[in-house]
Amino acid sequence: MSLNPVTRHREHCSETRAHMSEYLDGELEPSALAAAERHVRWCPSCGRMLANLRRTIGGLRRLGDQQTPVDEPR
Amino acid sequence: MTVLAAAPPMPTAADDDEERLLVRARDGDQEAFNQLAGRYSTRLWRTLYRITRDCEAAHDAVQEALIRAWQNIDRFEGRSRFYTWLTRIGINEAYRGLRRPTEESLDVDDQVGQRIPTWGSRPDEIFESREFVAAVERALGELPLDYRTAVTLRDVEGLSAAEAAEVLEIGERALKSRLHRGRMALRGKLDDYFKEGYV
Repeated sequence: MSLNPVTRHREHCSETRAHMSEYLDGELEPSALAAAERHVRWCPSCGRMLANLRRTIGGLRRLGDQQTPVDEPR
Repeated sequence: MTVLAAAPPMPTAADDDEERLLVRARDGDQEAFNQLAGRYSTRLWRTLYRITRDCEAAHDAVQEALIRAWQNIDRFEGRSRFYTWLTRIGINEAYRGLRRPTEESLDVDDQVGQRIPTWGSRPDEIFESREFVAAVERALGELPLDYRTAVTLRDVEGLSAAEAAEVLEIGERALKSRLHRGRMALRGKLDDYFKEGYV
């Protein structure tokens, strides 16, 4: 891991983003979960990305609740 | 970073009923098979429509899948749910009708340092609206096939990662990789949707 704080921050961003799906699926181990939560608390970009990804998955689940696809040809 | 393994789902009364129908169907009882098919054919059509984006192709794939499932019901060993097995047959049928691009790339727009727009200031109702859900459906339809299929099975149909991997006959790690990249690409497409001011 780099000693340069900017590089280190970006490494944390990359690491967190690579595991956002597992984070939202509740599949991260406690230590990894704590690290991800710590990072998104003070990184606005990753915080926004996580919030938007959560909304995206919420939208997909709502699609599954529809009796027919929303854009089904009539 | 390490991940936890998901616990297997507990069997339900519906599972027991399904098991009884399966036993009868394996013994050649077509009525029992028809009951099973009736439970899942609409759901299977929805899944295959989302993958093919073609109403007729999805319908044809469902019909072929049901015929093949009936012809091969004695080979169903019950190691997976019947719906998982039927979906695997249906997806194989649907893929057969699609001209599959090989190694179709997916440009995931998540570079570190790039500005990420906020959606959070919008009220919750926006994310429950038909317009937002329709935008998600459109964005899903634009994903490359492998990613679209992984996201559809896991997030839209609610299969577990293990079930979705089994349907696609790939490892769970590969499924999760497709799922994550697909979700991230969708998020990027929806950034564009909000940027364009539709909501």
